[in-house]
Amino acid sequence: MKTLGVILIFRLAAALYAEQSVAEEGRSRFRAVDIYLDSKSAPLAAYQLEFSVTNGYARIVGIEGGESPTFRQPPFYDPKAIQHDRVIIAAFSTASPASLPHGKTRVATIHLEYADNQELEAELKLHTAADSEGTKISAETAFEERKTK
Amino acid sequence: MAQRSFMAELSKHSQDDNLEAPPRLVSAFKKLPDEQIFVPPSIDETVVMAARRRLTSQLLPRSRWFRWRLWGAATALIVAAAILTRLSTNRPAPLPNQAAFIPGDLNHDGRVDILDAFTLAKQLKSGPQLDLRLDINGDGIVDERDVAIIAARAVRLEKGGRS
Amino acid sequence: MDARVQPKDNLDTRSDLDLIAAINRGDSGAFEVLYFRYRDWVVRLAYRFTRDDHASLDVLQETFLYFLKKFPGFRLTANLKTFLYPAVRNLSACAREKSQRYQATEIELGTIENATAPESPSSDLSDLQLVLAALSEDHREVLLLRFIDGLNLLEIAQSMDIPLGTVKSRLHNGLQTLRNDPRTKEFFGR
Repeated sequence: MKTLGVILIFRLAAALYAEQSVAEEGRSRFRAVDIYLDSKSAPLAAYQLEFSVTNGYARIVGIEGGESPTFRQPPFYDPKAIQHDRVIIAAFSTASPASLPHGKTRVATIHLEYADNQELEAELKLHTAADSEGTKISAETAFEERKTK
Repeated sequence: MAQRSFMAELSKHSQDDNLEAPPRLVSAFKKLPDEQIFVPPSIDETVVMAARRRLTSQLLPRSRWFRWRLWGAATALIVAAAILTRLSTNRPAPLPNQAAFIPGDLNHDGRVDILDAFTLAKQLKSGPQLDLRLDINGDGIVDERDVAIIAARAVRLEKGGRS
Repeated sequence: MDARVQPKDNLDTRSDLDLIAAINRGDSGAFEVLYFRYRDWVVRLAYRFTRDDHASLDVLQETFLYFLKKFPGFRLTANLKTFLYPAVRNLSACAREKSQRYQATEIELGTIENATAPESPSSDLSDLQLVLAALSEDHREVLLLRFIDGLNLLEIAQSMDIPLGTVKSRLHNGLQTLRNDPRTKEFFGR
């Protein structure tokens, strides 16, 4: 009797797990993509970037600021980008050079909604970056999908 | 009768006194949040251009002789312009700072991007700005709202977010 | 951080009468001065009537194009606001009916969200706004024309095309309402 009970429990659990798997199929997922700029030794005071999803499986649902206090506030962006696949983000700070970040800095995070089981394919283009004097500087861009815990 | 008109006069004065507001109320009225409506430059241009068209045309007399003179002058101008254009083909291109001012292009690099907003923000930080070309929203004040307008233009998506 | 610069029109110190005379002679620059001198007042007034940003911009444009058609030959007999006010009011009524959306950019609104939120008005101002909102439009308009737009009673009468006595009556009643309302009676206290 006990054995029958255990078997029944396992079967129930299996059925529930199967249902859950079916329910998860076709669900959309949310991912956070961190946007980085590496200004090397130059203090980063302003930047303008363009991020676009290239395989059409994701859309932008939110944008937040970066890690440095300088760029903690959300950047400027066109609200029309939300629910679409392309956005231009930009920000600046008039803080003193000593307070500005340099090296690799997360300047923003873009939140995407996309179809489950699809790989993210995206492109990040630097429009411009400048130091505290407003002088254009070169910087390397990178984006990384934030790993879920 | 005399008393009635006196009372009417008294009542009128009393009523007029009651039409004055105390200074504190007047001050509160003046501080009421003012609706800041952004007037796009395109509206200003429409009105100003309409005024120029209408008012300039009012100046032209209708005499035939004057019209002939006008045509003659116009022809001479066109010929002169053509000659000058030919002569100027070998002239070097105007320096960037001599090019037409693009509203919002404060660093004169030929486009409006975040660096222009940054430039204005830095200038504002250094002190009041009196250059009217920096008054992007045309409200008579050069301030952070003009910075925000430039930044908005910098990130504007032409195709509505679609790549 | 703000720098109050002279608006374009304030660089020109000519009176409205002088400017009108110049416009009648074909001076479009004088019209431009008048336009910028009254532009913000007109658009704010249009907003008071329409409560819509886009419609108020339509009304602004239509008001000045209507004004322009009065030249040459326009005669200014009073404060220019008394001429513009009925035009704005009537055009606003038309705009409300049409309720046409002006294709303005929403970006300015979107990025302003990123900026620091403005300070909330003091409780005095909020109470005043609430009491004003509860007044009839006729009474409220008289108060606003008097104490914000600075028109005298005769000018208000001309603008609204109502008898002077009616202006006085509405002003008196409006002030009485403010005096009697617990939220605003303190403005009248000693």
